[in-house]
Parts: sequence; structure tokens; C-alpha cells
Amino acid sequence: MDYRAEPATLAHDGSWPGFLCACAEALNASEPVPRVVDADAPVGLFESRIAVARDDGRAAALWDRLTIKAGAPAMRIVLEAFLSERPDARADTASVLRRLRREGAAALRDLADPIVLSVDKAATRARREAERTTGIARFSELADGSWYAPLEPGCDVLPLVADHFAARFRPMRFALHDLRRGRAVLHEPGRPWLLTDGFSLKRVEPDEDAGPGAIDSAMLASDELRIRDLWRRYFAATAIEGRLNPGLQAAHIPKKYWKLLTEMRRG
Amino acid sequence: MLGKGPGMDATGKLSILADAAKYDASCSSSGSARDNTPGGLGNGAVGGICHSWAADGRCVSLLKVLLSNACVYDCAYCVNRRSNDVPRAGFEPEELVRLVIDFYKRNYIEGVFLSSGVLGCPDHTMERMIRVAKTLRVRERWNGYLHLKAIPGSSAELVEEAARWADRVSVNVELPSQASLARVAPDKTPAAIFGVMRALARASGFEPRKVLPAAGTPGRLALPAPTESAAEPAPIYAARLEPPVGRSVMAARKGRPREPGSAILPAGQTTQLVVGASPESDATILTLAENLYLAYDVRRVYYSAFVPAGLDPRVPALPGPPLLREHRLYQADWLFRFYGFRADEILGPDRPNLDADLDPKCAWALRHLDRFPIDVNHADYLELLRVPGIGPRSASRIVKARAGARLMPESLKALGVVMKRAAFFITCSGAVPSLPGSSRRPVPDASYARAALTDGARRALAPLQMEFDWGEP
Ligand code: SF4
Repeated sequence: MDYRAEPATLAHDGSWPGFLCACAEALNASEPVPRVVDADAPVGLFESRIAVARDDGRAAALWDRLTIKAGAPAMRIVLEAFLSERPDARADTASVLRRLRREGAAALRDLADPIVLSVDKAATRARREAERTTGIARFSELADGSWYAPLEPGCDVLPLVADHFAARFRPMRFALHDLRRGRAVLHEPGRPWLLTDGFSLKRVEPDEDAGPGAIDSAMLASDELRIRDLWRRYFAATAIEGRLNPGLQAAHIPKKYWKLLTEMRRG
Repeated sequence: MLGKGPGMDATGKLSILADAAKYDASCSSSGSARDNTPGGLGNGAVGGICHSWAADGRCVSLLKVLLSNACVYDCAYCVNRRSNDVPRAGFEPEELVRLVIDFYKRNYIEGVFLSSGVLGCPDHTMERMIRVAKTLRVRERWNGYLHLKAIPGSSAELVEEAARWADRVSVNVELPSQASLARVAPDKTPAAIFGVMRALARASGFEPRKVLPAAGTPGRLALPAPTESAAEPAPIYAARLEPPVGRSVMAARKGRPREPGSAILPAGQTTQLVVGASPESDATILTLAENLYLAYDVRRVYYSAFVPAGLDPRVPALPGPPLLREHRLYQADWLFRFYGFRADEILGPDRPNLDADLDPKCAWALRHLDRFPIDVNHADYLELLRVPGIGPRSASRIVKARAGARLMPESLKALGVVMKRAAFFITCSGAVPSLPGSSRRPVPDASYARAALTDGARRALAPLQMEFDWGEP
């Protein structure tokens, strides 16, 4: 039975717990299994859509049950696939959970199954983006001694990178801001990090030309611009003239990421 | 004195001291998993993290600088040699500590790679570098990645102390023979360099292998014989190690697990050889590299195409860095570490240099056609590794997959085998694979085989590399 042909759908609110609740509902349903969709997606002509309410307790219970069955590494892949935001990745992830519940982690190794392959590809994409983000996030020191890093990741990577930055910058008070999704990871020394929606940095006077993530210099720590300049100086000095290879450089770090990189921009 | 002249601020110093440090090839920040300490800043990531990519395409992960580019030595290949007329600068240890922390907190860097010209004497220079390292670790409680370059000739105690604070310490051999060392880097002696390597091996719990005189190794490479100065520590230029002999680097390393969380030198020691600043053949370079792996448990040997740094009559005025040669040496080095090859299998006295058109594994296979084709359904792991187009990953996949079912030619591509190359050298229980995109039978000694196995490296790299005539017979 191809579940895609079945018009009954379960809609979630787009949040991770909401998604898990819709998955729980789908796991309880008998064949034909209803498809899990985002509430934002347009309703199909013959679709009968049921909205599933977000219930964090229920989501956590499902997560724990599946983790016991499939193990943490497999569930990490599930989370990564969800965060990839690739079209179909969420629906495919929801349907893979059924196999995970039955077969455990082995289900994810069956790359001959197109749904598993799709989940695997989506997860890989998010993982790569997260790895890249750990390298290219750039923090600025603000006048109050806290730190701010704007990001524009293709996937929703904040939950995947927060632990890394919290461990590395343990003594720092910082915000890791996803400009595209308006969310931020907030970290205070000695406390667990927090994910906040609708975050925005209060700017004194937004400068239209400065581009995304730019901060008014009045908000910056007094040394910030000087240190950025030092870094640019270092970066320029470090390329070997006899071996210049801009093609290779752009292959490693696509230009769309350049606008948030201190060394590639001015100011 | 140094860098204290009027107008020399941190910006000016950084430009000079980063520029002078950039020729060292090692950008690796991996191999260490230093934990963050309570209240401390930073940690190590086992896989290493690239933070940016410079205009030459290299990964930028470490702040690579010199403590000072003033140097009392006069190595011909080096911009910082005392006879070269360049502006000099030096950081105060405290200045550099500030810079590291400022960069690290902004996530510009994964850590530091600190080197220095020789200030006065080796020990004095080492002490200054250790002061930076210790201040970072103890006062700043910084746990980022720290690579220190040891100065040849520094005392074993200082080398050990450096090993205590750093994730990795390296000392560059640079010249591949004693004669070249004497000519090109007259202030350095083999004993000064290899003495540091021995101390580093010991610091990380590896008893260095004994080096025996090169005499009586006919059929090996004609290397310069060690002189009397070769007492202890003996120069490893002598191409012979105490038994067991004939083991590959891969086999020798098997019993030595890496501990990224280890407190002392978790990322081990590395070294670098300059390619093209002296007349040694690839065979000499690879034999030396193999000895360094075996004798001192060096983690990586880096090969650096010589970039002429101003005119010095002791080194050739190359038209450009020998990048293709560097590339082939890296490929051969890879065969040591992951494929179980020995240096004398890759090259020998009759074949002193690597093939410019073929990767060294293809070249080896074409010279040993009597060992092929091999049957992927029966060959053991090490035999599989010898097949061009099969690497460690696809070899282990083959071993796993064939336990379930007999492999057919069609199933190999999905296991990661590069059929374009492997087709010439394998069968599947008698079934001969076809060449992808060709109707020809894959016959390795056919005239078209060599062309089919040629890779694009020469096209990509050779325009930048021109031959230099050493004027030798
Ligand atoms: S000792 Fe080092 S810095 Fe000094 S000239 Fe030789 S290679 Fe250059």
C-alpha cells in the first residue's frame, strides 16, 4: 500500500514536539497509514486533514520509547532529517519511524528503500550544514560584554550546534541568532542553553546598507572593530601568492555564506 | 629591539609574523579531544574544524604565526634567514596571548600554530614559546588546539615541557639528506633535529627505534653515509632501522592506539620535508619519510613544494613550486599509512621518481601485472587494497558484502569501487567486469590502458611546475 496515495493526513504545527505528536498519531493508526503534513502546506482537493494538537509530554514519551528501541544515534538522524527542511523530509521521516519502531536502528541502513534514502540524504544535509556552522559562525563582542553571532543557515541547525558552542564558550554569555528563522540560542554561563523564537537584537539605528546581521557600532565593545580588522589582516596575509586558487576557495565556502564572514566583508 | 620600534602595533606585527609563518603546510587541527576544564574556555574537536578558506583554497583553522621572524640561523629556503633583507618583528608573549583569546572567542580559529625564528639560542627561543603556551593553558584556562614548533637543538627537558602544554609538537626535517642539510641549513645538524624527535617520541610514550648505520644495505637507496657526528641520536638519514625490518607503516601502527583524550601530546608529532629545494629523488624522500614514521612514530609527514623565497644561490630558482611532485608524494604517503605499502615497493634505485601521469598505486599495479587479476570474492583485505580503484572503505565493504552473497561486477560500484580503474585488475569469480562507458575489454597491458588509468593531476598542476635541471648525469 503506498501511503502517499491515501488522502487522509495528519497536520502538525511545524514545531518539533508538534511533529512528534502527529507521528505518534500516525503510528497508532492502522493501514492505510495517514500521511504527516505541515499545517502550512496547501490542502489537497481530496485530502481530509486532521490537525494534531501539540503536547510536549506526548512528544517526549514517543521520543523516549523510540530511543530505547532504536538507540540515540538513529534518533539523532531522525532529528537531523526533520531539521533539514527539505521538501518531503518530514513526511518521509514520519513514515520511517514506523520501521524504526519495528526493526530498530537497522531500518536506517536499508538505503535501498527510497524513503530511508530520502531521510538519510536529508539528515546528511543538515549534519553538513551544522558542521559548517561550527566553523563559520562569527561572534562579535557587544558593549555589555555579551557575544552575538548572526547566522543564515539553509537548514534549521541551531538545535544541532548549540551543545558545541555552549561547551566551547562556556564562560561566555552569547546569542546565536538564526536571522532567517528569527530564532536564537541563548547561553548564560552555568546554565543550560535556551532556544527562543522571535528573537531580534535591539539595534540603536539599523543601517540599511550594512547588510544582514550588521550591528550598529555603538552597540559593539570598544575593541571589536580593531580586532575584526586584525583578523582580516591575518586572513589576507595567510594565502600563498604562488598558489592562489579562488575556484578551490569558492568550492569550500560557497559565496552565499560570505556576507556573514568577518574576513570577507568590511566593517 | 624587535617590534618595539615606533609605530609597530599589533596590526603591523601580525601582518609580518603571519606572512612569515604561512609556508608551513600543516593546517591540521584534528586528533585531539581536549575537554573543556571547569570555568575554562574552549575545547578540541577530534575531527578538526575548518573556520575559513584562504584565497589559495587552504583551510584556515589555526592562527599560524611566528613569535619572532628575526633569526640567527641562515637556512637558504626560508624567508626569515638572517641574510635576507626583510622587516623584522616580534610579539611579546603577553601580546600574543591576548590575540589568541580575542580570535578564539570570536570563533575565528580552532587554535594556534606557534613557531619562531631562533632568538639567540634554541633553548631561549623554546622558553619564550613555552611561556605563551603555559600562560594560555594555566592563566587563561584555554583548551583550544595548540601546535608548537620545536626549535632544533633545544634541550630534551624543554621539549618535554612543550609536549605537556601542546596538543601537537613538530620539528621540521626539511632537507632530505645530510649533505643538503649542511649546504642549505648550515646552522642545523641532524643530531639537533632528530634529538628533538626522539624526545617527542619518548614524551608520548613511544621508545624510538634504534637506527643502524646505512652500510651494507645494497639494493637500497644511495643515501649519504652518516658521519662520526652520528653517535646518539643517530641521523635517520641512514636508511636502516633495527629489526623487525620490512614492516609497512600501516602494520607497525596497528598495535598503537591513538588516544585523543590523552594529556600529553594527544595529536602526536609531525614533520615536514621540502620538495624541490635540493636534488634528492622521490625515492630518497619517501624512504626517509617511512623511517620517520617507523623510528619516531611521527603522526604525519607533510611535503611542501618549495616556494622560492628571494634569491639565495644555495637553492634553485624554480619557475614555480613543484606542485605535481608534491601531490604524488602525498599519494605515496597515503599508501604507507592506509594501504600497507613499503617505500621500496613504490620506488627503488632503478626507479627514483614517481610517475607524473599515474597515481603511485596504479603505477605499482601496472608493474605487477603477474599479481592480477584478483578475484574480489576470494582475495583478502590487504590484496583488495592493492587494486587501483579500491580503497580501505570499499575493501571492507566488499569483505562484508561477499559474506552474504557472491559479488557480481554490477554490484561493485554501489560498494564504492571506482570501476573505471578497478575493471582492469579484478574478476568476480571468473566474470570479467566491463569498462564503464566503453565497449573494450579491460586488458591492463593493452596500449590504451595506461591512458585510461591516467588521472588529471598533471593537467591541473603541471602548468605550474617546470623541470629544473640539476646539472647531474
Ligand atoms: S632556523 Fe627556522 S626561521 Fe631561522 S632561518 Fe632556519 S628555517 Fe628560517
